[in-house]
This record gives sequence, C-alpha cells and structure tokens, in this order.
Amino acid sequence: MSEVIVVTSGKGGVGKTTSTANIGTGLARMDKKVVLIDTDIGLRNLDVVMGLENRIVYNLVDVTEGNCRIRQALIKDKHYPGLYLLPAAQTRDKSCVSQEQMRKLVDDLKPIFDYIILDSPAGIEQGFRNACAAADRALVITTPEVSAIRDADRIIGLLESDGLRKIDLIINRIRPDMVKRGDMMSVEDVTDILSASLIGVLPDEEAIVIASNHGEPVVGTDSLTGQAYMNICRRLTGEKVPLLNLYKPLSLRSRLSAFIKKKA
Amino acid sequence: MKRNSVIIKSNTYGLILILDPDLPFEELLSDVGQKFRDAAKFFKNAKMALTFRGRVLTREQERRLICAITENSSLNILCLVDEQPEAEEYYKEAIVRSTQADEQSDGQFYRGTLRSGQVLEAEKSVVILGDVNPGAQVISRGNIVVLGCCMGNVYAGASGNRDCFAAGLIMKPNQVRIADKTARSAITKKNDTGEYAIDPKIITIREGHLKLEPLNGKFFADMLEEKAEELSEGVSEKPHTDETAGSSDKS
Repeated sequence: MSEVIVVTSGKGGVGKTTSTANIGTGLARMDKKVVLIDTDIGLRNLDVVMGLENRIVYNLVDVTEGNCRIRQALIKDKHYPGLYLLPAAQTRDKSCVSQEQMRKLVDDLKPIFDYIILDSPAGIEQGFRNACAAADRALVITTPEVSAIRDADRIIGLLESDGLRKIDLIINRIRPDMVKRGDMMSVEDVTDILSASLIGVLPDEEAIVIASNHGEPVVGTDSLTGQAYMNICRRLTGEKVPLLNLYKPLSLRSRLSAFIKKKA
Repeated sequence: MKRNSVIIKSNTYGLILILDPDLPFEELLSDVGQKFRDAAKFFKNAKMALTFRGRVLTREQERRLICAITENSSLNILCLVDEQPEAEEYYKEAIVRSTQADEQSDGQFYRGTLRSGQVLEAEKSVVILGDVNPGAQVISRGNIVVLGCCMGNVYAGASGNRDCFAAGLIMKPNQVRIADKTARSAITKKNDTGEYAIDPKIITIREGHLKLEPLNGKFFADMLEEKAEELSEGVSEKPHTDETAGSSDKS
C-alpha cells in the first residue's frame, strides 16, 4: 500500500523543496519506489534541486489536462532507478489544477509507487490546498524562528481541520552554537510551542546549499544533514508503530540534546 | 430559399464556390452568408484561396461576396483565383508562398529578456535582443536568434520545417527542438559559475540530428557552398521544387 506524503511549511524558504528531494532520494536508497510531485505550478524548483530540469518535456498540467499519459511526464532520476519526478508547469498558474484532479492523479500513481511525495508551495492558497488534497500524511517543515513557527502552527491547524491525522514536524537549520548561547530556540522549545510529533532535526550546514546548487541531493553523503535526512527516511518507513519510533532518540538529536543539557 | 444556389467545393489549397447563374444577386449573397455561417466551425481560421464558378461577377459583386464570407466565418481568404485548368497549381503556389514567407524570410524582434515562465510564440522568425533565462521558452515557426545568453528552451521550425535554425551569442539552452528533433543540454552544474564568454553558435539539423556548431567563417562558407549546390540541382530537375513545397505544407 502506498503512502502519500505532503511536505509543507506555510512560510517560504524553510526547506520544503530541499527536504522533498532528499527524503525522496533517501527512500529510493532504501529500495522503495518513490515519485516526487512538484505542485508549485508557476514557480517550479524541485527539478532544479534534483538536477533534472533539462529533461522536462511534459508536466503536471499536461497530465491533468490529458495532453499526455502519466508515464510520459515522469522523469527518471539520474542515480536511482526507483525514483521519479513529476515536474510542475512553469508557464501556468496554480488555478490550472483542481483538488479533484490532484486526487485522481495520485490515485493513478498509487498502484505503481510505494511513496508519493508532494512538494507543496508556500502559502495557504489553492496550491497548498491541491497538494494537501490527496495526502494521508504531512511533514511540516519549520525553522527555529518566530515567523516560521507562527506559520507552521497555522498550517498544522489547517491540516488538522482538513482531517489529516498524521502530521510530523521537521525542524530545519538548527545551529547548536546559537542554541547554546540562548540566541536560538531549541528543538524542545519548538516542539513545545507546536505540540506536534517530531520526526527529525536538521542542522544548518553548508553542505546542503552546495548540494542543492549542484543539483544533487545531500542524502548518502557523510555530512550531518545527509545522515539526518536518512534517519528521517528510516522513521518514515518504520511508521507501523509510529509513536514509539518517533520519539526514539537518534544520533543527531541525542547529540544535540546532550549538547544542550551539558550546557544547562 | 433555394438550397442549391450555392455549392462549396474544395481542393487541397482552396475553395470553389459554384453559384447559381439565375438567382438575383442579393438573394445569392444571403445564401452564401448562410452557407458559411453553417460551416464556420469547420473552416475555423483556415487560410484559403477562392474561386467563383458558374456566374459572371463584377468586381463589386466579388467584393461583396468575400465580405459575406468573412463576416460569417473566420476564414482567411488569401487571394481570388480565376477559373483556369491549372488553377490548382496556382492555389498551391499562392498558399505555399504566403505561409513560407512568414516562416522563413520574415522576422520580428523582441526587445528584452525572457524570464522563467515566460513564453514567446512567433509565427515568423524571431530575433531576441536580450537573454532567454532558464525556464523561459521561445517557440517559432521560423528561425530563432538570441542576441544574448540563451539558457531556456528554444523550439524553432515549430510547424515542422527542418530547415530552420536556432542561433545565439551564448548558447547554453536547456532543451532545443527543431521541427521533430529534440536535444537537451548536458548537466555541467559542478563547474558552472553562471558567467559565460560570448561564443556564437548555431543549431541546425544535419543528417537527421541536431548539430551545434560555432557560427564562424567556416560555417558561412559551408552554408554558401550548400546553397550553390541546391541551386544547381534545382535548375537541372525542375519538378523537384514541387516536392519540397508539398512537404513543407504538411505542417
């Protein structure tokens, strides 16, 4: 049975697209069949981060409008045979696709893939609604900043009122040194404010910027971020017993919290 | 209304209107209008040559008939052809000439940079005074010339003309299409600083493949040579030109 996951945040620039690319690649590394769908019509980025922009012939809107078959629009990843991308249209806008069409599209993809990951656009308008329409699980990305947390809170509220039950939190761009100095909110502070289950913490690292610019995911490298993304993927697949797994201390997180405790 | 006062016949390149010789002109006019109103959907924006048959018309009457047709449908009447045995030949030439002229020799300019998500569609060849950024698209029935950095998607000869080309001062397009051929760039992001030196290049179809060549003296010399060969061939076997005209119309 395939799982449909939406990656969203409300605020822009917190790492939705990067996380989608890396989580998708991570799952593909675990031999899962994964499709990434870019729902940010008009401002597509996922293809650039994946380094697949020059292979786009058909896109999401072509599929929903019936200009091509789904198989024609799916782009195979450069490295992983089980990883595919369905790019967004760049010359159209969000209103080109309806929630109904997204649901149908996802239903068509379900028999083929283990994981369908939807990269949501920023905001809470039609694009976000489309991305969430078909999802059975959400990953909400936030950074330890007041504005991002405020938006994440709003997003979690909207997702809950849409009836989405499985909502997990990823906290991005944690800087241990700043947390130590008390200049940045800690992981605990953020989870307390949002009272959502935490599925991963990502450090603020140069490696991720470099990798994104090269069109390569960071998963699979030795970098902290790469390991952190891999851990998130493991937690995603082991979600048969979600609550137990979610709070299992993991290398990075335990290291971070040990770090914080030692200081306190 | 006499239903058979107007009969529309067609050949590949145009329409023949067979008119009732005895009906009063005004009545005939309204019949023609009616007929084309009914068929407007079928003709859409087709470009056609037109012949009247079965009745001698004055200039004024011809003009009024054409008005009646264009008012009632969105048909484009390119020219009127007198009834002649070789009429079809004329139709063909007239149509091919008027459409090919658009694609090949005529051009238009676009001033400014095309940014991501913008699409420039042109019936004629197009010269862009600016850059074509990644994610932007240029589609032309004719040739495309970018006087700047071409990094987006370019599609020349969109109606199937394989003789079209795409050229630019800096050619780093994501994807190129000419007629039915497609190519994509190699990914060289690792060493890509985003700054390029001016290096004029041209993409054409050579032996069924897209070929990127430097736009320099050698290219021009080769091009002239080819043209000279084509011309000498054209003189020796006249009917050959017909064939090429026919194939370009397939689009």
